[in-house]
Amino acid sequence: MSHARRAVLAALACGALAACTSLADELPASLETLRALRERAVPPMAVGMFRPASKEVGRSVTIRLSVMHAPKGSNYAEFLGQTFATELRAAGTLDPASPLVLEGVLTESRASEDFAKGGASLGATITLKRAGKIVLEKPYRVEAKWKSDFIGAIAIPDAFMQYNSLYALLVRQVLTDPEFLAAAKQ
Amino acid sequence: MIAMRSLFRAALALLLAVSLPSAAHAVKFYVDNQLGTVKPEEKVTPAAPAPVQILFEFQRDAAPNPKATKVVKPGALEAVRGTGSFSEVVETPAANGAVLSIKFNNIVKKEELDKAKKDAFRAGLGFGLFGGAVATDYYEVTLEYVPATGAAPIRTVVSHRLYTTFGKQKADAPPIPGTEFKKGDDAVKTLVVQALERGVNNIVADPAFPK
Repeated sequence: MSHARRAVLAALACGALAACTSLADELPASLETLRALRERAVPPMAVGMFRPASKEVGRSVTIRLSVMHAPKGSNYAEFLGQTFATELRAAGTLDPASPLVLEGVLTESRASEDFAKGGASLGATITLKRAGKIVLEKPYRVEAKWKSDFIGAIAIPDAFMQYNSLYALLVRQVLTDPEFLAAAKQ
Repeated sequence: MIAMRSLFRAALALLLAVSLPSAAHAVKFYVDNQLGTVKPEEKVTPAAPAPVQILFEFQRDAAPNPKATKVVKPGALEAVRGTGSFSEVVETPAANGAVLSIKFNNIVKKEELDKAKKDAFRAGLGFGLFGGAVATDYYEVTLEYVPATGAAPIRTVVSHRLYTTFGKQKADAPPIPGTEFKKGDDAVKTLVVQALERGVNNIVADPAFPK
């Protein structure tokens, strides 16, 4: 198929889908994480650098020609950092001046579907440093599987929602991990 | 409009996109009558309302739905303020450490979704004149109130429903057990207010709620 023909088909498909690009939405804090941080009296921490392991990992996610980008011009690694900041702020444990710094490398970011089923996964190596010294470095991973639909108007937002929600799940997995909480309190 | 974001509505919107404008296939919204508003005799008011931090999350089948959270949250915060049960409703930590978590879960019933898609397709072919479609959105709203750090949460779950109809309903079809709204936004707003009004009242009425 020629490039011109592909471009025309893509344009027609985009027109039919009404919206070809969207932005990932910020995620709310959760009671589970808030309670874990407050009840364990975890000290305030700063959110440091979050970067993608490779250019491809931090890029947008595409489902049936529709694309979802990270919000506000950031990449998905920075979006993960922002999601951590939201949870810590809600618990009253975000302090940009703290010697305890949370950093991360986004190692996996994927979403796909085949008109019948969908799957998405997100992985990151999280590092916790106190005064520049590493107190925890650990990989975390979450995934989602769902039944997809042949109708694009259902399947596309569904896939984006499933992928977007993984950020909340990964952040909650880290901030409620007993190993992480113990390292933060060392 | 959050109602349009549900799977049912997405299926209806797409499958009915070919239909012509006609009163026969107007979309109507109904908020289920079972829950209703909190009656004055049921209303429990705290002696000394305290501030509270709200955590709000809209979910679909218990999975976070960030787009819907963004749309519904302002109305939900207003609904909690409207109860008058708290002196201040904020999203940042409250001075007393009190937190109210609200999880608004939209439950999708697979068999009903498939039926709605079939009915909507049939209704679309007949422009809504020879049979319509009814979609039901089920909501399970979980409220958890933690009065102070370390305190046990007070929990309540409120169920609610939103019905959406398209086209001419069969003469022998059972009546929709809800109150009609012309606009989907108004129906959703009413549903959110009713669910949270009831949920907050249940929390305040709980013997463990600080007096």
